[in-house]
Amino acid sequence: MINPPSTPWLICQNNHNEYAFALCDVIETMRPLAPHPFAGMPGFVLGVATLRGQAVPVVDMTALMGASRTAPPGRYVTLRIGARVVAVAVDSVIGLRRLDPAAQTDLPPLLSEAAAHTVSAIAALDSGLLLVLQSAHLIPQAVWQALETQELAQ
Amino acid sequence: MNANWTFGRKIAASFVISSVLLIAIGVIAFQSIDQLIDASYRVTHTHQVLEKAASLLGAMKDAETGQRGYIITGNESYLEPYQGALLEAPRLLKDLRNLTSDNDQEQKRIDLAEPLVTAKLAELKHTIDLRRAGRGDEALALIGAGTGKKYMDDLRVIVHDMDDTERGLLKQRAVESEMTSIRAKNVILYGTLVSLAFVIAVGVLLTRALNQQVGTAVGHVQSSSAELQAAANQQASGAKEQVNAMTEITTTISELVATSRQIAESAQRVAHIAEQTALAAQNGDGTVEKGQDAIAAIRRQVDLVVNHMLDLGRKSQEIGAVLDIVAELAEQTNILAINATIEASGAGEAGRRFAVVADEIRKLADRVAVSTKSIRSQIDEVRGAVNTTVMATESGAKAVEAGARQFNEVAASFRQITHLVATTTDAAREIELSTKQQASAAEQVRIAVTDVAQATRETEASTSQTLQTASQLAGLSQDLRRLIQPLSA
Repeated sequence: MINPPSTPWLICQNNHNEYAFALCDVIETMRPLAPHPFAGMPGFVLGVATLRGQAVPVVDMTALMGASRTAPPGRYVTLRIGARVVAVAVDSVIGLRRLDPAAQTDLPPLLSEAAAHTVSAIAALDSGLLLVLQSAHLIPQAVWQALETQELAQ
Repeated sequence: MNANWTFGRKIAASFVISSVLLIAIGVIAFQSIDQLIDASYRVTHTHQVLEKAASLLGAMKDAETGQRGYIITGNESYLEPYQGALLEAPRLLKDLRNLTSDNDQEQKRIDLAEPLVTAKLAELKHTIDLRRAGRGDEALALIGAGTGKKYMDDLRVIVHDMDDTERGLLKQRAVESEMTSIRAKNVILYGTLVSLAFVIAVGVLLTRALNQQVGTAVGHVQSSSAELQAAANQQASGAKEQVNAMTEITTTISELVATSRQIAESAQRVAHIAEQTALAAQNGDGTVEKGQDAIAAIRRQVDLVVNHMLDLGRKSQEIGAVLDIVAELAEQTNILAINATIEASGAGEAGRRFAVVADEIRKLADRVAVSTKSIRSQIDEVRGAVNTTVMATESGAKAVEAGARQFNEVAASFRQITHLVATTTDAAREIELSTKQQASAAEQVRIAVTDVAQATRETEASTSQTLQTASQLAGLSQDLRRLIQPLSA
């Protein structure tokens, strides 16, 4: 799904990095609920949590980026994958930001720093999730500082 | 001879053995000489028997000769031999019987000869009586009958037998006497030679033993003399050092006496100062009691401060609980605002204004969250300060308590000081008395040490005398060695 140019993005922070999710893919944010691990789950999945009466797989952003989590996640961001829902565990949710449409193409995709086997595993498990994650972006530090300056100016 | 015997014992044993040999030789020689004398006596005895037998036969012949002369001449002077035979014949028979009393054969012959002599003398008397009565013819006829001759013939045979027997005995006793003489000579000769050889052997052995034992002993005496000289030299040196040490000790003890007197004076001063200290300690005890009262008041005030601070801490905790609720609300508001923004954005242009409001609400929630964090931080600081104050106050209370205990201890110490000072006063007085006694004792020791120094000097002189004696002993041992060993040895 292509993000419309005027649509704001949901900015999350995880492991001292900022990520931007296309708002059209985001359902809601919430406090994390305890996930239940299941057999054979990949390393970047924390388990299955019951959200709004529905069993939702929880993907760990830290593990997705190839690092190890040192503290429990602060928020879940639920994403719409077609008719299904997937929760992404992050440290915090900063808020909505409007990005310059011209600059969006310069932003690196979220999975640009993920390992190839992780990407392969996501593709094998859920191609929809792969599409959603590929539409998200990793916000470099310089871009993030420019956004914060703009936010303070407004 | 046993090698472990002493020299005197060896000499005594040698003399005993030599004496035994001499006694044995003397006993054997005495027995031999006694046997020789006995043999000579027996020879003499045999000669006496021979002589008596010959005399008896001669007396009977003389009597017969006198009888015949008287019968022929009628002259009475011819009867003198007859008269002599009458007296001599019984005496000779008695002598012969006594001399041959140990010889049965000779006694039997005498028993045979005695009636013959009696019968012959009776025949002679009868014929003489007949001639004196003038009956010379009858006397001649009786003589011619041959009775008297037969008596004489028988008597001659008996005397001859006795003579043969006695001469055989004489020959046998001569042989025995010769054998006894030879044995005596041999015993004396060989016994003397054996004794001489024994005496020479013992003399050689004793001389060797004397040389060996006395030489060894002299060597030991010389060695001991040298050691004694060395020891005497060391003792003399030690005695000199001892004299010097005694002099130093005397000086030290004199200093000790002076020091003891100074200590006695110091102990007197200590007793005086201790009395003053006891007075000061009693004053200090009163001051400490006042301090204890002041500390008790401080302690009560501190307890009040602690209670107030604990109340402040509890209030701060209650504020913290309220802040938790506020923070929870702010966080929930933040989430709701973000979700509202998301929903508003999904509503298109119609939701744009609502999205702005929701975003403002989110910002307000963020500011509330930040303020709540700030207040929480300040409240935490207040609680930390309260805790610190409580802890400091409690420490102060504990310090006051410790101070009170220390004041108690100080008071106890003051009382103990008073007691100890009293004890110190007594001890100082005892020290003063003891030091005076010590000074007196040290003076006595000094006198005794002076006496010991004098005795040591005398010992030194005695040691010199000992050294001289040891030198003389060494010279004497050398002289003794020269006596038992030639100079070339």
